[in-house]
Amino acid sequence: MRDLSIVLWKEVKEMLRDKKTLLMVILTPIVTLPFMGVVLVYLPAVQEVVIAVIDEDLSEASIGNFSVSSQSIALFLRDYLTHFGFLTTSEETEVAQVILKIPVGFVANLTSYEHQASVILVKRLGSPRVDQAVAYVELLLNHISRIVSEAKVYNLGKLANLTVKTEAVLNPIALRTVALTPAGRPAEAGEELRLYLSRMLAVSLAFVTTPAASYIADSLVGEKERKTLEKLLSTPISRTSFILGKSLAASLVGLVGGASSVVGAVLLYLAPTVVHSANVAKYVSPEVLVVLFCSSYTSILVSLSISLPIVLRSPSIRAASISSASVIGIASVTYLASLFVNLDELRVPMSILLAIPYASLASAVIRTSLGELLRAVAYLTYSLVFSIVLILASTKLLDPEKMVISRV
Amino acid sequence: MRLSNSVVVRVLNLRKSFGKREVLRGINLEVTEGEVFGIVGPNGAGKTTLLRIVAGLLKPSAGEVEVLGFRVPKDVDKIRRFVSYLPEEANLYGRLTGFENMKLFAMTYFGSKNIDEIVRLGVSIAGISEQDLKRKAETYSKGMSRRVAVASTLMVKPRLAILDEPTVGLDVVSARYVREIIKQFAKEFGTTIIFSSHNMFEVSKLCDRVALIHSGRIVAVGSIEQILADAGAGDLEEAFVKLAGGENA
Repeated sequence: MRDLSIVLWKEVKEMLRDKKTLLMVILTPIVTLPFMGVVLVYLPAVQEVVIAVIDEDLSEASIGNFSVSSQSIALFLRDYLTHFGFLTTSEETEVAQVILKIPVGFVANLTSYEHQASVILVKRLGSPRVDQAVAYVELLLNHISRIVSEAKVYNLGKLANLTVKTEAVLNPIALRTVALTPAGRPAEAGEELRLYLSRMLAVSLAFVTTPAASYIADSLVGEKERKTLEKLLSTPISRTSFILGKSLAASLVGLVGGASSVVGAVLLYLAPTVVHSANVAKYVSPEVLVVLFCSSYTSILVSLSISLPIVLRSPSIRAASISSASVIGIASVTYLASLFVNLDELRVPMSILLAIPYASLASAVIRTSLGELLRAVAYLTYSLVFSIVLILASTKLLDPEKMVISRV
Repeated sequence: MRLSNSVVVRVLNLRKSFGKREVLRGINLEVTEGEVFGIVGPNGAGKTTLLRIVAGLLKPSAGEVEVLGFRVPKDVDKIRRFVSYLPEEANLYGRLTGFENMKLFAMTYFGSKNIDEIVRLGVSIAGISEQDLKRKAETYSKGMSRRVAVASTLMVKPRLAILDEPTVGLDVVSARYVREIIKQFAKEFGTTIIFSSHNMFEVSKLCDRVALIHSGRIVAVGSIEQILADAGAGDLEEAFVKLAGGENA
């Protein structure tokens, strides 16, 4: 215990004086998280896409009392697309990424009972926002299609002297989708956005882990590089205290990183509110912040516990540094994967991924957001136990000979 | 088995290999209490490996090493309580002050209580002003760093101090100061000191007895006068060349 406090004393002094690294541990989540929110939520919405809606038909016709003109359709499309944040034009231009041509004969076909009207949609590849624009155009055309269909059905019914309910003809099967949370309660409006943001929080664990894991690797490898290790290992300090002292110091870094990630998370939820008037701040809950804090802290401990045996057994400092970078890489990729998939819902054999503590920690954050706190606690506990066991096992792995003769 | 009080280090037929490369090839030597014992040899002769084994950092591949009656590697935890080791080119913790570096090494031997006296001794050995010792060690010159490092090694009054090339890379004035503090400390406290160097002049100034080491073997051991007489040489450098087998040794 005495030895442990001595190593911890040294590590804390060094850590507090390494202001740049400490600042990185604090600032990385605080800066990166809201930035990620802005990039993923706001930027795609404001990226400029020019849509040309060109009316080559310039005609009008009617279905019974319902009159249709190509100009009104083009105007309707341009108005709504502008409302959705796209730039529109009525002329064919070089800058247009999406071009919708209403060809000659369109209105005649649209109002006929024998022909199908068609439009030509041209899109330039290369931007997800263009795909989004195309999706909006398709949505609006479907809407127009629907209105025209209703008019035709109504008119046919009138001609046949039948009472026709348009829905019964056009949509004989009504589909009502009810969204439930995994806990089984009806999902509130905005629940999907809440889930999306919680996935971002899971990804954000990578930003906490990366600087902290680098700090941990440096605290071991750096002792060798700075030629301080050999003297410390020759003193009466026990090997267990040496490892546990460094681990405790790293866990202090974890506490700092965890607190920063909570601040970053609050900013993440506030960023879209400020820049995009999307009120997502209401989705911040104390449970999510507490679990995020615990996950950030545990993520750092996990990185330490995985790095320790690798660093302690590496034949050279360079090998140790590369191994540590690999651990950071695995953590980052695992957290990134949680953006696209529920890592705790995979089938065998991929379900083995959950054994990677990073996957459990990402799942803990997402599950908390979905109201499954007990499941989140189970994931957190697993990761915590995993890291503690590995750290304790690593105390047996410290071989001064390997550390001393390892190449720089 | 415990050694007699007068023998602090005994090395018997010590061999050490790293993979296929044999670095020590049957070393035999004894260091007695209170003497300043020099290990002299060119770079790559095996000096550092020998000292690391005596300090308990490396394990012998074969042979026996006993320090203060304790065996290496079995009893290294006990050995480390009585031995203080300064590795070659060891640095201070740059973000700690000179004071804090000394405090750290004092604490590793005596815990955090009652170490003021030990640190005070360190300050007097280092011969650096208190104002300078309050600065971060990363701002020190190489000479100042080495003085604090040597002071940290000696201030804990170990029964055996092992100093691996403590003056290497220092300017003439700093090297002279370090030699002086080692000499003065050994005289004042009677601490056994093993001192390695490739500088024959330095060793002849400082050591009671020396061992000349070449390619992992001891080629001569004894007092400087004895070695010079046996080799029929005028100085230690000439003796080394003769004993090691010529100019290309």
